[in-house]
Amino acid sequence: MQSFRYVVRNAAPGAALLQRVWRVLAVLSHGPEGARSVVRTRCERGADIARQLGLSEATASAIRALDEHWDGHGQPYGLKGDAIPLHARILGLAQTVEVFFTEFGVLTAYDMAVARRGTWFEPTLVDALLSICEDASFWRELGSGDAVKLQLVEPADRVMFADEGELDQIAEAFARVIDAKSPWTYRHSHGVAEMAVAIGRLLGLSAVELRALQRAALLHDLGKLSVSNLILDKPDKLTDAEFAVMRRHPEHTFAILNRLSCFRGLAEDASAHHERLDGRGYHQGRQANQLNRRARILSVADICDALRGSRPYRPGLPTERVLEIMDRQVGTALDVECVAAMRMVLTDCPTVDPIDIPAARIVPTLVEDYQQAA
Amino acid sequence: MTSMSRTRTASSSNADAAGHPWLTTRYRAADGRGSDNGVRLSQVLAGLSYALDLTEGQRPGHSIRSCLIGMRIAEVINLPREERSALFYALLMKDLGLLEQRGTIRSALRVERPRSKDKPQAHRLVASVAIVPIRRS
Repeated sequence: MQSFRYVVRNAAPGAALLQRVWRVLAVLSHGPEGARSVVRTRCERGADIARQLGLSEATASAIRALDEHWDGHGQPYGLKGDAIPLHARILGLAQTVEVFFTEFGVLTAYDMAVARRGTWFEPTLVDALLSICEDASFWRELGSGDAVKLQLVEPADRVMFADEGELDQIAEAFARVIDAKSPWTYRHSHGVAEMAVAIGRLLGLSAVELRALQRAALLHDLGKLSVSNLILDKPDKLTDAEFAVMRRHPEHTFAILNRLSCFRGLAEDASAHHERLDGRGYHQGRQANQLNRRARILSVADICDALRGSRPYRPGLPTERVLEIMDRQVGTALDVECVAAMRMVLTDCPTVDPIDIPAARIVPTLVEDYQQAA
Repeated sequence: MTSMSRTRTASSSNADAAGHPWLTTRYRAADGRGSDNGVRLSQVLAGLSYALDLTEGQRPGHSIRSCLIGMRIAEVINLPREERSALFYALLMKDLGLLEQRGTIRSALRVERPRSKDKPQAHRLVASVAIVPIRRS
């Protein structure tokens, strides 16, 4: 009944009554199985990527059972009690408490946990939370959001380190996370990385530079995770407001990568993929002399892959059309050498194929709008 | 005492179960002895967890704060130390399989923009068996 009330309240607000009724029926027709399918995808994919990161099977299992409830009414498998891995039980409680703590404070978070004791959460864990709730300094420091404290809670005798090869794997795994955000950008990050490295090789970049370029390409759209799917998957031209949101994604990419000492050197390059030589790009409006070769390569690779892939508003473009469009941007937006190298890659490397996803709707006037496409 | 440079190998059951290319992640002493110029994995993943928070529609630092809360609970219930590492990374990377839940649900409902009062409800919307609003007690 709660679910039904929520659907009725939120379905197509502001629309005509008939439209709202139709929407309610459409949502309800998917039923619980629709929701279960969404959660299953989320949990299984999370566990799978955790394994790709080299994390333990216990970690992957916990992520897989993240949304199960103690009483068996969780998702996606309806596991009950001890059948849910202990780590997952802790995850479920910790993440929910965090949300309520952040929004309403510790007392409300605790009330929520008590109200769901025995239903969502294992009673023993809720009882353990009580002793923590009384620790005012813990919550005060938690509110300060100091990530450094993580080092204090990481088991000291099990600290893990990653070498260069592992950092590559981490970039690969997160590219997978990014690409999964929208069906329209499936394998986009990987496609950009393949093209960028191919161009870089032709231009004589060193092995060290190629590695940096590959990582920057894999992570260049990290900030796109902040963009709503209502915008990413919109089958029409974006409004000014929506485009403004979209234009901020390189800024987020920079902010996230710049936090990390190991990826800080990539932040500038990765976040410059929408910059133009004439300074009319975004997010910083850099001039040509502020764009190094890696950034120029990345920009070309990004646009190329975006044009060749399908988007909600148009199908993928054939190579000839891609080259035609990009040639027109040489000198103003794009670097001439990088575009020439890209041309060679496309000509000589048939394996770099566009991704074949049918377009939901073709909007011919937007075919050249690669800013939205990328 | 801290353990030194235990290197896992490709024959690990973890790798076998996963079927993915194995990462030669090393456990090393927390004081850095035995260093081979690697970076601390937790720091890398903590930084990247901010990206996961973005999609889940959480406030920045959600994953890290969840990790701190979860590890504190582990401490209270005396979770064996050897199990805490798995928990630590699970807490940090719990949203790896992210789906934009608010976007997914709102898209289905044709809601054009989130309403501020829905903010806490949006979290775990799907997880709470589809569209069940969280009741504040």
